[in-house]
Amino acid sequence: MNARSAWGLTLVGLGGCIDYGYTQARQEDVFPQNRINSVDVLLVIDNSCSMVEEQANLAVNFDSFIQIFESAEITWQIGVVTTDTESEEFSGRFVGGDDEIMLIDAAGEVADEVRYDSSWGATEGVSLSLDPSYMSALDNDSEGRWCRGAASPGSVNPACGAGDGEGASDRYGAVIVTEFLADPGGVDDSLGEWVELTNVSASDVDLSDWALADHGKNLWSFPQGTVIPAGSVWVGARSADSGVNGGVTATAAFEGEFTLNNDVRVLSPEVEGAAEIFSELVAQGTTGAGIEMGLEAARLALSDTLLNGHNAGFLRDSANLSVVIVSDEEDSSPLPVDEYLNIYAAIKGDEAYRDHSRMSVSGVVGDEPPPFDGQPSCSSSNGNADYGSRYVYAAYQTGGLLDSICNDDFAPIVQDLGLTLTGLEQNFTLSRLPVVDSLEVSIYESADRSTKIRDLTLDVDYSFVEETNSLSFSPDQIPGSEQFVVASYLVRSGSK
Amino acid sequence: MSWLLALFLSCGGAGDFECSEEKACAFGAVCVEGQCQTQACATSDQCPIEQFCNADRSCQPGCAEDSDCLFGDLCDTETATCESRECTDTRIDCAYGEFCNAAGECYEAAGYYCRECEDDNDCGGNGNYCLSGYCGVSCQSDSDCPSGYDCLPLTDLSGTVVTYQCWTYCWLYE
Repeated sequence: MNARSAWGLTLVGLGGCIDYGYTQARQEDVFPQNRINSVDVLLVIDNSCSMVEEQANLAVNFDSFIQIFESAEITWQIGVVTTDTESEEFSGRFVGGDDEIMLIDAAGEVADEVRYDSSWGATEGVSLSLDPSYMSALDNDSEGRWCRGAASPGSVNPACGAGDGEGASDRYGAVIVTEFLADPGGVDDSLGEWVELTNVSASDVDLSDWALADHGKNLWSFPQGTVIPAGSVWVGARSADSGVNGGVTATAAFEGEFTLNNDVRVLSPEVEGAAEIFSELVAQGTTGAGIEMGLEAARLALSDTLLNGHNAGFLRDSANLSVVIVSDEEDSSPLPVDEYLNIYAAIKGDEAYRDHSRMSVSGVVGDEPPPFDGQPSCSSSNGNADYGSRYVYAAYQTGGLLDSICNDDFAPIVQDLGLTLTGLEQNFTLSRLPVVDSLEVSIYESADRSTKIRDLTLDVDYSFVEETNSLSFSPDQIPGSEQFVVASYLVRSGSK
Repeated sequence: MSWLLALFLSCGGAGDFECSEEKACAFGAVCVEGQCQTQACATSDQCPIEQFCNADRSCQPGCAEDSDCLFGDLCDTETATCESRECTDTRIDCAYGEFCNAAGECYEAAGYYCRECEDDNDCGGNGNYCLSGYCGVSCQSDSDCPSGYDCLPLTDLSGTVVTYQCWTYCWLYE
């Protein structure tokens, strides 16, 4: 012991004896943090009517969700499916890589709509422009009539010999969508996405009270007085500053009110702009089937057929699997709940039946039984939620998290969820009662304490909870996977 | 002299024993009658599901507790076998179109549930309606309906509830 530490101990001891009557006994507790290296999160979103606010609530809290993973140094992946198993578009298939550009007129009618998906090839840096031979609201519905990578925002589109496909929707569109860039290459999406419209009629069109929208969260209203002269084009971009948006001359800025989905189905730390993409993924709108089958949708998503096809790249052998269901309705899947749990567990191997960190189901649902049959489980400003008894049971069986979808603020839910999915301990109970002022807490890489990561400061890095006699860490301070927390302290007199 | 003493103690004290209370076996092995034996398991968590770690530290088919069984099964500790749990809740424990009875068994609902129809006469009367080509069955609450069905209100054009019917998206379950 060097002179300095001896002096420090003496001072603490003296202070203890004179002021508080503590003994000199010193205790050291070593807590190993759990080993969790990676998690695959299958997020099942209810896309039936009544879910708009909940989807938005989830989207705005994505950053704090991911922050917990990142502070815990966990590698994560997220795939999103909907509870809709009726539509072939969903039915366990990861959403993403598709979006709509809808032009809504002043009467609320859809003047034009272009729906693209990953088959259109709108990959990073590749714009899509409508072949000039097909300048109509009907002809621009088909992927075969669009040219790739011939960006000409604000100018006449070059021809590329496109010609396959048929129109899907018979919109009247005097103004139509003729070009767009969903995933800019050189600049961030939040600056460089753009959409070009063309007035294909013989008259000027006043776009006051018109809007650009999609089936999810996007809605951007044109500024009053926006007019496109007959035969002219108009360009709007996320940023109207050509110095930062990749050099596009744009008339108006959408900023965050209208965004375009990238061709991403599995989110991971490597995906640029993950928060924005997540907000698109969870904004699945309310066009899904009125009957929700969250457990069945998860089964389909994890089936060999989809994991080897549309959902490829999601499931990692070494990663834990967490199914998270967000729904305000009861599950109507056809099998008993336990059968679904056995199917999910079998995917992760034998240990997943007993070790719930390997496979769990969590639910943000109506989590309390109603007082009377036929009544909702809970109510909020967003409406009523039915009791999700099957989801509640699944979470109970697998040690997952349950929270109420009726909460107005999803931030605490998302934080709880992040912590549950990491599997990391947030609280460490001391073996004896400490003299609080004497607590010295450090984090080490290994139990032999050969490599210290950092010393911690009480009430800055952690807090002491008297009621539970434990050290408590805030979500952004939780010791990482396999690290060791070492707490040294003087034991209070009378403590065993 | 001290070398000879050590040799003597080694031979006479420990005999042929490979391990003892003082001399532990390597990690992963246990001392059985002085011999280190590699153990297949220390706890049942190390065994496949529907097996458990027995007194000999080897995995044995069967179970010692419920967690050794699949979800939905319980361990009969007398026979050390996993048995299907009796149902207690129609909606949670039974498959689509089944009820859970008092004996704890799921059974297929009899009646006109989701039977294809052209009009109400195809649905057996008793207040049953033909809805979107499939029969609904009159009900008062969700508990009257088999798993996968809800007791839904049917309203007339003025919004007045005319009847409640056990119904679902029948075509999804075909």
